[in-house]
Amino acid sequence: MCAEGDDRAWERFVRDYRPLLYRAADALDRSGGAREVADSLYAELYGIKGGAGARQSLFRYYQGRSSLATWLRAVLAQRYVDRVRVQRRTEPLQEDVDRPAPPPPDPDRDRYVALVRAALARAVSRLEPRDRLRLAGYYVQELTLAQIGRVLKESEASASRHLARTRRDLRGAVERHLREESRLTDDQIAACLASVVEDSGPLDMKQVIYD
Amino acid sequence: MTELPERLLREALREPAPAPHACVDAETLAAWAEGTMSRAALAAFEIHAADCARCQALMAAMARTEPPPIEPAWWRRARFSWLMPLAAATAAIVIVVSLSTGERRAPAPQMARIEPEPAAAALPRAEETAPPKAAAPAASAPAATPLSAAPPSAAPPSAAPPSAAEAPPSARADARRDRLSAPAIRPQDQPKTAGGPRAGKAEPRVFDSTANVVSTPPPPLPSRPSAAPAAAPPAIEPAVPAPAAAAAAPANAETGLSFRGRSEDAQARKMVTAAPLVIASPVRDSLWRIVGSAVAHSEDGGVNWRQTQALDADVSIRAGAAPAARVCWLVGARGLVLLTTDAARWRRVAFPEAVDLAAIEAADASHATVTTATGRRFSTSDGGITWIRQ
Repeated sequence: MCAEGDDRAWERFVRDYRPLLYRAADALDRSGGAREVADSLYAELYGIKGGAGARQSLFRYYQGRSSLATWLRAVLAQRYVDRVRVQRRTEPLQEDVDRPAPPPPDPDRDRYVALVRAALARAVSRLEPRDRLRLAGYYVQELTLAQIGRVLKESEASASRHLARTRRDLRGAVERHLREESRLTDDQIAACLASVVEDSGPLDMKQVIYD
Repeated sequence: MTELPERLLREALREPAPAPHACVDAETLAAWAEGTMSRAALAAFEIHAADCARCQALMAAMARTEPPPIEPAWWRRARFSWLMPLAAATAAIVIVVSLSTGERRAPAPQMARIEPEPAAAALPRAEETAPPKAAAPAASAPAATPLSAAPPSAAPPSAAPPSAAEAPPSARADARRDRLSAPAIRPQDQPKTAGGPRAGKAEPRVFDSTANVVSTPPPPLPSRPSAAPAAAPPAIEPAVPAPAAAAAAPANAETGLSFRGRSEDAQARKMVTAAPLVIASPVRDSLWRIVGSAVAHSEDGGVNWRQTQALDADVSIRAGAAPAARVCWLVGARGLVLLTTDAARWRRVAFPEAVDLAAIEAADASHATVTTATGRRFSTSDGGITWIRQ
């Protein structure tokens, strides 16, 4: 009825769902940026008159595979994520002010870092999708273990346990790769890992892995 | 170092390879969030999201915007769930105990009570001491409702003392004891029934042991004004002045009699032993009177009394029941149960416990139920040869 322009239905929708949308927006961005996205959704949900004069509401995409509230959260998440990704592309790169001062030049350091990058990229690509998703959720999206558990439909303890196992597997895979593929000794492997610990440098994994 | 540095991991995961398939739409994302996707669709989505930064961000956004789960009520939480059966069992026990307490209290009106000793001349004649069933309707005033039909809670508001039902168990026990011993207080300054045939005479209380209904109107409550209506039943005042008693101590909810304290209570109990206990039988004019250890039987409504077999001097009779003209059960302290079937000789009936017995109900010479001072009930169906605890 909202899609058809029923004012009473629309009023009820706004009354019932606006608080929910605002709560979701605040959870995404406490600075208020997501609220702008939520507000902009109303226009699309209310409907925009097309060229033929017919109202085109965003509700027409709602097929009922989930509750309306969850669907609204999903739409808001899409709009917000896309907006953030666009902004990141257009924003200039910020200097990493927290980065420590560069260590004294080491002739082997660049080679060690490159070796570790390659080994890590390969190990990550060989992870199970679910393990990779869990790892990305923790290190990239910075979700809590509880949130990761909800995302992957597992308990927080399971998420923590799987995460620890994945890290151990990655470490083992990297060392194995360095030993078997790069023919490094144990001392050299330790030096490689020490190099990335001291300063892993600006890692562009897209370049490291796929170029 | 046992693990790879986080910074390195973060960077390695930040920009995964482009996903081979298109990102999910809002409908699918919402279905994923609610867990309504099929297993195959879910696996496909996870495979895609594992390599799709946008979908990872979408999943993270959905996780962050998920409303907090509704906390169940504290008693429904898992750590309290085990308490539910325990609580239910406790409630059931409380209900059972309450009901059993109520059942124990129920026979209170059925107990024979000690009647104020009337003067020999004042003993009512047979026609005056109407049969119980006839006497009850005669009490037309509301206060004349038989005790059995008037539960403690039905006492008028003027019954200042708390009802026994509201009192703690110990208080209820005290109330029960008081109720048993209350009649020991001799009547004093009994009001006269204006114009009645018994005007100026003491009003004996007669009990119907068969119908288990006290046919005598209940005594007035201490707070009841002395200037009672003409139709009001005769009142039995406590030994102590009523105002003082009412002010000093709570009155018994049922009897309306009050005691100042334990010393007066003890004094009243002492008087109980001396006061007569009159028991009526279903047979008209058949009465039993117990004074101390002497038991007398009357077959003419109390005009003439004949002493029965003398009992031991230390016998303390507390209650009795006469289911037939010549059959009478008596109970007393330390498990005393006496039975006569010829209104002359008494037979000591063995009782399983040497406890004080407070009341007895009898249907005939074989069937009787005894209530102890603590409220336990024992019944016999073979004249006291065997007793079964109820």
